[in-house]
Amino acid sequence: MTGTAEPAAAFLVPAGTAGTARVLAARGRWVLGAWDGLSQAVEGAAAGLAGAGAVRIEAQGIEALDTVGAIELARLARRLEALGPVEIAGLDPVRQGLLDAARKAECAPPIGRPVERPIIAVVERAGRAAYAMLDETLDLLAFVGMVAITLGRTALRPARLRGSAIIHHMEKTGLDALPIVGLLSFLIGVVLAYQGADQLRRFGAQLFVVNLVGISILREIGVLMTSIIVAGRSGSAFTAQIGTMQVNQEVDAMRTLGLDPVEILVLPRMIALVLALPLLSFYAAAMGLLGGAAASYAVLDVTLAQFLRQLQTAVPVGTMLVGLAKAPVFAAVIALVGCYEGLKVSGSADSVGRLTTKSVVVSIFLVIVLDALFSILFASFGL
Amino acid sequence: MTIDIQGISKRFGTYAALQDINLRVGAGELVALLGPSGSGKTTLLRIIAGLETADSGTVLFEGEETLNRHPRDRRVGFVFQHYALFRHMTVFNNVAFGLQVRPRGQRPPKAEIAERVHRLLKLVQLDWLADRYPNQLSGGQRQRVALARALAIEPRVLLLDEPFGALDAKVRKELRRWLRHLHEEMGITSVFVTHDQEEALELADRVVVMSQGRIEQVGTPGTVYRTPSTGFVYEFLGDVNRVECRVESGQVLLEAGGTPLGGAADHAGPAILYVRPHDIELLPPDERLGAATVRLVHEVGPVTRAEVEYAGTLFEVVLPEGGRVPAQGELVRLSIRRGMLFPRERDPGEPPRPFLPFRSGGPTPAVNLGPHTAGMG
Repeated sequence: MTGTAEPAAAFLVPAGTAGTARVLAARGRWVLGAWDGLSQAVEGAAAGLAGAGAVRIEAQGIEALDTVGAIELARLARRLEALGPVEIAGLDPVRQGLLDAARKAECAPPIGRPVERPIIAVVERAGRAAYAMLDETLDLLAFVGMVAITLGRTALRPARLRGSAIIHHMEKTGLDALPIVGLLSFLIGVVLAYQGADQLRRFGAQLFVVNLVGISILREIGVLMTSIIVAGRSGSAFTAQIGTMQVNQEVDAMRTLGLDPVEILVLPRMIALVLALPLLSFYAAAMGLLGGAAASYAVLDVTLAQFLRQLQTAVPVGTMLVGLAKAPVFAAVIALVGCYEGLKVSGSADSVGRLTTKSVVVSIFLVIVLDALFSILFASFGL
Repeated sequence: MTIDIQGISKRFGTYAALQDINLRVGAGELVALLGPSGSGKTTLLRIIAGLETADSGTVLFEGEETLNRHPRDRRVGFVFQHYALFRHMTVFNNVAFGLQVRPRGQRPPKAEIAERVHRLLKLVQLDWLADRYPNQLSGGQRQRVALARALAIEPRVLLLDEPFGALDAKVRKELRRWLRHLHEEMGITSVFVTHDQEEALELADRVVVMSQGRIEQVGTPGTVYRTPSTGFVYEFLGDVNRVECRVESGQVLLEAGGTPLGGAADHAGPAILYVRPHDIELLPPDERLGAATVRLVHEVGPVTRAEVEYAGTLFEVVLPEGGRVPAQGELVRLSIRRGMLFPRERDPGEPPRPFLPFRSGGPTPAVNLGPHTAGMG
């Protein structure tokens, strides 16, 4: 505004001597708007007075003084103090106070060097992570309970369930996943049979490749692969869909319309996945066996008829049932984690991305942990 | 349908979002919650709607406790700033959704739902868009659909969270007027949140000014604008010059420099003077009172504003229409016609003091100016 146009020389003017001291008269508006000129004037005066000894600054002429002006004045005083005693005269108490504050603030506060204790830091991090995980687990369990209650209430009045939504989600999670699940399971079957044949041939036990492929696919790999693919495909989609609705306040809008988001959003997805995943797993197992049969034929010349006959003798129906029994549980876990993370989205769109990633990681982790628990459980039952 | 808000407090972690809020909204009233972002107005609205739970306090609808009632039984219509329409549904289904998913006993028959939805869409003048999807509509249309959706459940209370915040200025104005008409027609008790003072003053029957989780003032638009009870309200409602000054022996002096501005009764000590830009007059310079310099003049449509420097302090002035416009750098005399003094240290609830202007026109001030000018006079 003002002052910017004032030449630097106008701020500090030499005004003769008083005794042994050189006198500088300060004038004009020492304010932020004039900072350019001020700092030049200070530099110029400090350079001009090099070797001067005592200096007296007469400040009556200052028309206006703000924090920036006070800082510049303090800077000038410090520069000149290196040469000899400095006196600043003619400031009223208010301005003097401002200058004192500026001078006090000039010396940098001591910065303590942070003490590095890497081992303690690692322990602290681990501890925090453990507590965070505990909180998360309790939260997820609470959500599972809430869904269970809603499910129970809905079971009493099944008419409340929206059939069209369930069919829609079955199509999205089941039908649309057929190509990728089929192809991947087929390839896994091929790989298993191929690797198995290589090893078993050394013992002349080629035909047992059927046992290997049959049991591992029907009992474990079929359902596990399907669950992992579905977690990546549909669990993440659940989080992203619900999360976007959350960001868009659609979930809030539902609440104000008197609707329960768990009933409207979570239940249809969970029920759809619980119905779709066993079917998908069965299909995956069939495709895996087909892959195994194809590889056996190619490497070992085992025909399809031989393969099937051997499969019948080697693998009881129970094996398949044990495998498929796990599918609804995995489905529920994937759907619950997906929806839980989606409902946890708050505020911005970037939390959708973060929680989507997390939902996939958590659901795959839980599926594998549960699979291990199932193995122990079934083993103790002698299945 | 009255809303009674009693002693509502809410914390987010260590941050106090609302502190002991008490408010009563009368039946059929349209009340604006006005405040800067972070003042807690949206949180309060969400608590009324039941989307958020309060740490303490209660909300009564028609004298009935609501806090632990299901949102369905509250019958609250809520309109969101960003519309929050269901994107995968047509306009018709968006409006109908709240009715369609009701339990069988409470659900109206299909034909009645369709009839009601079309009636609402007619009301918001969007009947012809019933089969479109939300992303095919403009912002103003979406917000009207959101309003129709909120009205579909026959709410007893209508809550609007910055309903026009995401719209451009022209549409906003139009929709504002339209909402006012709609409110007069339907008479639903309504509360809306806004940070736009113009919107609040134009639309509301009563304005609740909020700051930092507290209510600063409640009153009709005229009252809060003309007689703000705190400095915050003064600054938030409309443009204002905030001048640091002190009062000594009945006269108001600029804090920096001690230039007298006018008089004040019954106060002494540091104070803050609030003056609206249109309450300052520029007169021909008078050497005895010291001259002010016009630093900047700019015209915005019909309004001409000037920045005038007087004794080292900048004043914003709105010049009267049709008057002479001073040139930049011209010397003038600054005359403050009206203002309000808020003592720096005062008890809450203590009223502000009126500012007494110098007698207009005449060179003699209304109060004795003391030694500063006495010697010259």
